[in-house]
Amino acid sequence: MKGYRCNKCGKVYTYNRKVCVNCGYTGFSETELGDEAKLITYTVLYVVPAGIERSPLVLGIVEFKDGARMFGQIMTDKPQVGMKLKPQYGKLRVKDGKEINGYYFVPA
Amino acid sequence: MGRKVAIIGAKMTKFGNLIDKTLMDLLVEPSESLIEEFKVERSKITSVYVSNLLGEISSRQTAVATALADYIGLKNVAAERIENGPASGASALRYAFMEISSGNSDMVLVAGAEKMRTAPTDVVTDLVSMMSHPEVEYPSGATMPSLGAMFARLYMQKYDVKPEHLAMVAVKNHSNAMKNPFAQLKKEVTLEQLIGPGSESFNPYVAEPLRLYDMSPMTDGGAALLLADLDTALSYTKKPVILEGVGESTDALALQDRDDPTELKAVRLSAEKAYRMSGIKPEEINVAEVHDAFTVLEIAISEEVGFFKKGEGKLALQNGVTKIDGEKPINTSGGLKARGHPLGATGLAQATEITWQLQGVADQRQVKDASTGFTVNMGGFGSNAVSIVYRRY
Repeated sequence: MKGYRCNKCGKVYTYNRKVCVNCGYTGFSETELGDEAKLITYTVLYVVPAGIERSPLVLGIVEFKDGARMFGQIMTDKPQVGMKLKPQYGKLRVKDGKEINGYYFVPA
Repeated sequence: MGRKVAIIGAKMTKFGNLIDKTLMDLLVEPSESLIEEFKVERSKITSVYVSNLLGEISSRQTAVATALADYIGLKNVAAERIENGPASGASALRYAFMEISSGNSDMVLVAGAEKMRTAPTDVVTDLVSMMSHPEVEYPSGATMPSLGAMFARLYMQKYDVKPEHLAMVAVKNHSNAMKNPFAQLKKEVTLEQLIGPGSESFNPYVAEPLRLYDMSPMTDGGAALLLADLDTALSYTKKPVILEGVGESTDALALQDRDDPTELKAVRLSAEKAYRMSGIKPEEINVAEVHDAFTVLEIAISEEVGFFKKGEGKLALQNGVTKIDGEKPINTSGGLKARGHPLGATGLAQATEITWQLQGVADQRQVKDASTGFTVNMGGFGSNAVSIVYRRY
């Protein structure tokens, strides 16, 4: 997983930003975060929005090294805080009739 | 500092499933009711703000503020719709505050309404989730309850908050709503029903660890307030309620991007700004309405706005401090939880409850000798908040 480190405050994001939300700086360096992440919080969602085909849907926030966090779908029936996960790329949902693809997480 | 700004009066519709009412009905009814009660000459109102989120989709309507001015015969006024997620109501009040304080208008009407019960639940859930981060939250299916649930899991773990504490918020707020003729959920609930053995069928999980009774409902409703500079207000009422302080703050849009996702920094900073402007401290507040879209938020917010130390909100709740007859009554109206949460109208319903409390007309919910009040209205999941401090004249 690619990360983006703010050249001023050091905050690492899992997505490309123009401006750091933490310090307002505009310079970032790409960094490699690896493929191992840890689940820090999650929910099992039983009321899913239109456009999501899976129910119940497990959603969570994972943390890569250097504190880079990412929210996403967790493909497991038994989520547990602290469990190790790895990212995979694929279909997330449908919006206005179009498929949206992105990263979700599966047990490592 | 500009001029003192005061609320002349506040009105709301009954909240609930109002299938026969249009968006315009929900804006016109409380507005007209104010104009009639205070015998206001329409030409005195020079500006109208309307808070509303979903008009395009719920009612195929935009420019609702202009429509309201037209419907109620306000001629040649300034009219604008305010959209700031579920904090739109308090944001609209903030605009009215700035406009009157600066001397640009002497009298301003603020109205808010939402129709949430027309479209199917999954469609409304999707619409509401559009306020999440468009790149890193929405695509994966984030909903407000899912963000609330992820927050709840972290917050409960950090401060040892148990499911029974969440249930206590629901029990209290449902009980308060029983005393509020305008509330949506008129049903007492008990801890046994919410978390006792076999409670899963009565109170199923919606977004673990949050259950049905941890959620505010989908609501149709409207509310309106009439504001003026203090001198003008005094020519209409002997009981104006002064807006002593108004504060707003944002935080990172995505929950994942906040350094400590158990903090509600926007709530804390907006409250600090409002207290500073007002010269009133959190310990001096007599009655408060806070944004309990989820039960856990009432506890967390009661700490962030300085009523209790971090981790002690649950104790205050448990000890009855936040009941109507407690030392720090919170959500006497029933809160978002039980009064109902019609997005665009919510901030105005909060201000309405505080106005009634400070005017001494809250009937069975009346907090004795209340002279100061506080509201905090959250936009998004903690990404924006607007706080207001009120004082009885």
